[in-house]
Amino acid sequence: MTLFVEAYGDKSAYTKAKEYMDATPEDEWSFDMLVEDLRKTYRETWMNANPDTRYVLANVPSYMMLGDHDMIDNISMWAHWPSFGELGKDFFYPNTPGEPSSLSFYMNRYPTERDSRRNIFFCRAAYMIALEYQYALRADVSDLVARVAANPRESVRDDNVLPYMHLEIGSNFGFYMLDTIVDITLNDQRDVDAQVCGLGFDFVEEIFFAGHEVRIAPAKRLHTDDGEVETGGTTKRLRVFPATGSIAQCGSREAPGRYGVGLSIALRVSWERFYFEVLMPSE
Amino acid sequence: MKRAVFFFTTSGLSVKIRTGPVIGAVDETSARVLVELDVGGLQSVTVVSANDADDVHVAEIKNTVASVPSVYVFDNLQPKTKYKVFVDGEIENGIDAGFTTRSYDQDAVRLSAFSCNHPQFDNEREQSRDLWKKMRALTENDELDMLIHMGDQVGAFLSTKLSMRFYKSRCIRTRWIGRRRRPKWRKSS
Repeated sequence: MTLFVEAYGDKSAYTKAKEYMDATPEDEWSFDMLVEDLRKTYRETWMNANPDTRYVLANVPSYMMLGDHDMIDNISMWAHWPSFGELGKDFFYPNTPGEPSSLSFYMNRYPTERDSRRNIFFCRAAYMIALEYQYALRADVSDLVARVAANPRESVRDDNVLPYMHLEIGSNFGFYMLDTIVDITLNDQRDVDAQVCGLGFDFVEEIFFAGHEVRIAPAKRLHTDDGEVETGGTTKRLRVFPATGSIAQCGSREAPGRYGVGLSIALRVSWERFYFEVLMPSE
Repeated sequence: MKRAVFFFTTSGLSVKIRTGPVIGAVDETSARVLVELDVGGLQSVTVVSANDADDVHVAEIKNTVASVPSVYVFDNLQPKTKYKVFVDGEIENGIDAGFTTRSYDQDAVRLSAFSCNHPQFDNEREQSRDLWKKMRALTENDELDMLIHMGDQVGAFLSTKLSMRFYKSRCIRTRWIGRRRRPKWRKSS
């Protein structure tokens, strides 16, 4: 869910919530109101905006994963990231104030300086709604929803978010969210032993720019903004489809000397395609 | 036909669906269906096999909350069977809904993977304007087994443009995945 991005002149959900909470005494903040505002976006998008959308969702099973804006909604957070400096800020959303990612909030992994009660309150609402509409389609999340609703002001650490980074649809295939960690972990010096989901940088280069079957175990650990975390993922073989041409075309070579940024740009263009192409055969 | 027993608590008042039905995970014998109504209380959803009118399953939730989505879970379904979904009650804005359970011997899956379902964006991207129309056609022809939503399932921009008619999304591709049509992969050294 896009929470922080100011898109096409519209206020982000975060901006709207921020304005509301700044103008309202803290003890009068309404969790229900924030939640209801977010629910409206689901109703409008899935139900009212287009009858074809509603029909398709009503007749084909849907599987939902965390998206890029869950992971790094804060594209301009690059402005706060030492190795990216002003490049990310200027390149993408120069007018967007940098904010931590939704995922960071979901998991209570946000930077200390942004650990405001307001942000927690808002992101707990967003997390609850994501559970209600998206992840309930895959599993029973009622306990989680109840826990969030009962503690909207508490930054309860929630590692249950991690499974939504990968999606095992059947016994022999699924999808793995891989790219967005690149933003956080890849350094702009390519000789640094950067890790992407625990995989070596050579692996990333290989799959982006060549496209092989790769006999390697996906990570059980992720690098996040506050260190490594367990993914809970099982060791399987990745099979990477070779249709990565567009990624290669806008790859690191367009940003010489800024390898991490270049790769991130590439992924931002095509990240969905990338992990669509990644399957996890069980053999 | 053992059609659904009628459960409802609104004493004949018509009910509006606010979201759904949205078909969630479906495997060989089970399915999840999300529905959000504008009233709460006892509610049921029924699925009926398209081929066997006696193959009826009812999922009931006693304490649904108005304008909060609920997920109805169906177990013990028949594999490789097409089911119709009915939200029980006097529904004002119903829609044809259904799903097909997977087969145990299924060796291919037809899916559409997409992201950025932002009706707010209106006409920004012509190439994707007809995405949902195309996907509806695929759905009506039974050519789509699942949808993979890969991010921005909604965009919470909370815009006044939300009511605009058009929509935008981005379809990565729809393709087969399965043993029969897998190309030969070049193995890494």
